[in-house]
Amino acid sequence: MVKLSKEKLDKVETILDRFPKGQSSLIGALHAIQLEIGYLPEEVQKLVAEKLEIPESTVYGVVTFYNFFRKEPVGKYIITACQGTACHVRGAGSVIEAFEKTLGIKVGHTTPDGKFTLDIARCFGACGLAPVVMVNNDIYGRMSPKKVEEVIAKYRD
Amino acid sequence: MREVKLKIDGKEVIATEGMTILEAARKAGFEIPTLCYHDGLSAHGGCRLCVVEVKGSPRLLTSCTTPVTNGMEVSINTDRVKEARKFVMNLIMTERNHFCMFCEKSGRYEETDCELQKRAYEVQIEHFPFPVYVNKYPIDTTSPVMVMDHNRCILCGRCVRVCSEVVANSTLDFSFRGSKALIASDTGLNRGESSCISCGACMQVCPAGALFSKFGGYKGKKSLCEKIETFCPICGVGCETTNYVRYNNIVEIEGSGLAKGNLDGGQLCEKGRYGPLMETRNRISLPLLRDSRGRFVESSYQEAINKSIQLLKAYSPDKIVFRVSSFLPAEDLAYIKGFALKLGVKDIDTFDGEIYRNLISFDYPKANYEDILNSDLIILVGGDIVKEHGVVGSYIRRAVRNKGAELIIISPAESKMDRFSKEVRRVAEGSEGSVVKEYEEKIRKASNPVIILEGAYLLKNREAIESWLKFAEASKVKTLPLPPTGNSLAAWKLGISSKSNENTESGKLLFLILGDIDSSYSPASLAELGFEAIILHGAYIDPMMKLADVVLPGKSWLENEGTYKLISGEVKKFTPILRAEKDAKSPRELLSELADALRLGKIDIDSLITSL
Repeated sequence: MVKLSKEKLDKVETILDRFPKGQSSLIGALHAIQLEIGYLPEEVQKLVAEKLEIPESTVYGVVTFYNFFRKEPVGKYIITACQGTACHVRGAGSVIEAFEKTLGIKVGHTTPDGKFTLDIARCFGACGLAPVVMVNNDIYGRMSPKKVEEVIAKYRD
Repeated sequence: MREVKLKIDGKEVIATEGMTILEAARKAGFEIPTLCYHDGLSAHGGCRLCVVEVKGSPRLLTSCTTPVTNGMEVSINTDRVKEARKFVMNLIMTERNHFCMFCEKSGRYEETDCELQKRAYEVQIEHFPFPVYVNKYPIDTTSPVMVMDHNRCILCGRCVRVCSEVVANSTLDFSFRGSKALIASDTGLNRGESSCISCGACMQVCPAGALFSKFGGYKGKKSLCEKIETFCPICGVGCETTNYVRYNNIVEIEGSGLAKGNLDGGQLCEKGRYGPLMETRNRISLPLLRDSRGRFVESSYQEAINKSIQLLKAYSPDKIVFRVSSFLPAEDLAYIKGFALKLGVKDIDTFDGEIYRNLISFDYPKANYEDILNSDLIILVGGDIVKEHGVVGSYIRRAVRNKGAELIIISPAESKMDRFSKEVRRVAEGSEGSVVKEYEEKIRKASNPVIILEGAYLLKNREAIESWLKFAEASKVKTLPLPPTGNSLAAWKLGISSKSNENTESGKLLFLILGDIDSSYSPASLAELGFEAIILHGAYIDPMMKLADVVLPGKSWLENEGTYKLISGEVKKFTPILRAEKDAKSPRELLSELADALRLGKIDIDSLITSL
């Protein structure tokens, strides 16, 4: 398990100090922490449980329930492939597969160099461009497995 | 409470406001099938099996969560309801691996241990109408006491609720969602590495084959077992138990107060639920005598009795010493005392007599369980309450979690209670008393402080507890020293421990009555006191046997009927769970034979027992 630096843990504690104790603060606190340090590893979940005085299992339950919360660190670039109906029909599946193959990771994971995180989403509302992929805030429409390497190359620097 | 009138299947039913349809129906004698619902827990409304039709409502309602209202008209068995129930059951049965024939809990309708299977029989599911989901889920065998097979889990959440509502340990919760949902321990840990305290409450309430005992598993259905209702006398809390016994073997022990509204919520601790099943010591099954070359030889029961009589006659009473386990029924304790008195022996003590003598000189207000539950500051001093008095531990957790009480632990070792405490003070063993001063002010300021003293090691050490008890006495702080064995309180009340053992130095014959306890309790230093002869009566083979000249097999607590005095003050009669072997006697049976042979006359214990 990767240990968070003391500096980061201090930041987490400072955030938690803003929230009153109890389960009702949980989602807000997790949201604020993820915004600050990017993800919610086990040691952060434990700290949240301790500070809010709620069971660890409750924290873990909420972290795993919402797709939004991450237990692993995210890469510098988050590649989000749309898997909404239109994208799905136009071959999002094979695009995602190509990303997995090229990056050597599964959906939801991050490359060991910490550069790319592969994720999927349900509809960006850009169905005219299906299949669509987003890299951080850049949009790539009309994707195909062939274009995958080209898109990744732009961020490989 | 206001009365509410409603109709169930056309019959007028009177309920009280706040009741659910299910409660009102069951009270009026109607049966509605349920799965996720459990009498002793909050309603969840997850399985949808208990749906009923309510006039005016377009959809079916879950009876376990719908409150009754005046004039409500409920139908619990219409075709629509029946069809919905069967549909729900079909979905549940198809979602994960519910191939009953390969499950530990499976059985015919009359004898299955599985509620899920029973419900499936009731709605006549003979095959899976939907394609069966073949996803594989983990099987967690890391707990020392149970197996969690997620493939058999129906996500009813009974385990989650019992863990937080009754045991107040909150190890379990749901994680992930949809088809990936899993019951998780803490932050998704294996159960064996989590904060789980192995109390087994989750296992007891699991309606499917997802949680089952590592000890009871594959030993046969509970319905084929003899069922013995009694209580667990191990630690003095005295939790009510249902014991399932087959061929004189315990298959499973369950808490029986779960739905009865008992304070303990029907939970047990690891020691109570699994202790007898985890016993690894071997029994003393035959009387043994030491021969002229110092070796043990098997003897007949009569030979061993004769040798004991010979020894008791050979020494004058002031040279005879009795050392006795306090974990014996009061009848045995009283008989031992009576026997010793008639014989003229004055030096008689229990192994925890020291504790009694340490405690008796202080006059502090006694705390009870309610005091713990209503406390705002709990000071827990000493050993591991989770292991020693697990159910009392749950009262502390409830006070912390539900009432916001503050818990301060002063202990030489880590325990699973630590995570409920804001302040854990590590002290060297024996110096627990040295920190009292630092907490005095805080305790005085609290409105309902309680001090709990845990552990035989602590209570035996006068120096460690003296300052706590003096403070409790002076400041009138309610205090609960937890007795080391299940009948310490009876032994102390009967006055067995009141003599100081000043004669031991001159003792020549030692009569040891061990019952179930082992040498960790007994004074190893006895061997150094230079006894010429030792008679040992006990249930288990133990290193102490090496010192004995006569060894007599005893009954274990599981086989020995009798009375116990609980921490709550209640006096309860224990019903034996197992039958003893022929030669295994209770101390009172053995001593009455000796008393007859020694012509000691009748030893009357009745008045002593009623005085408890």
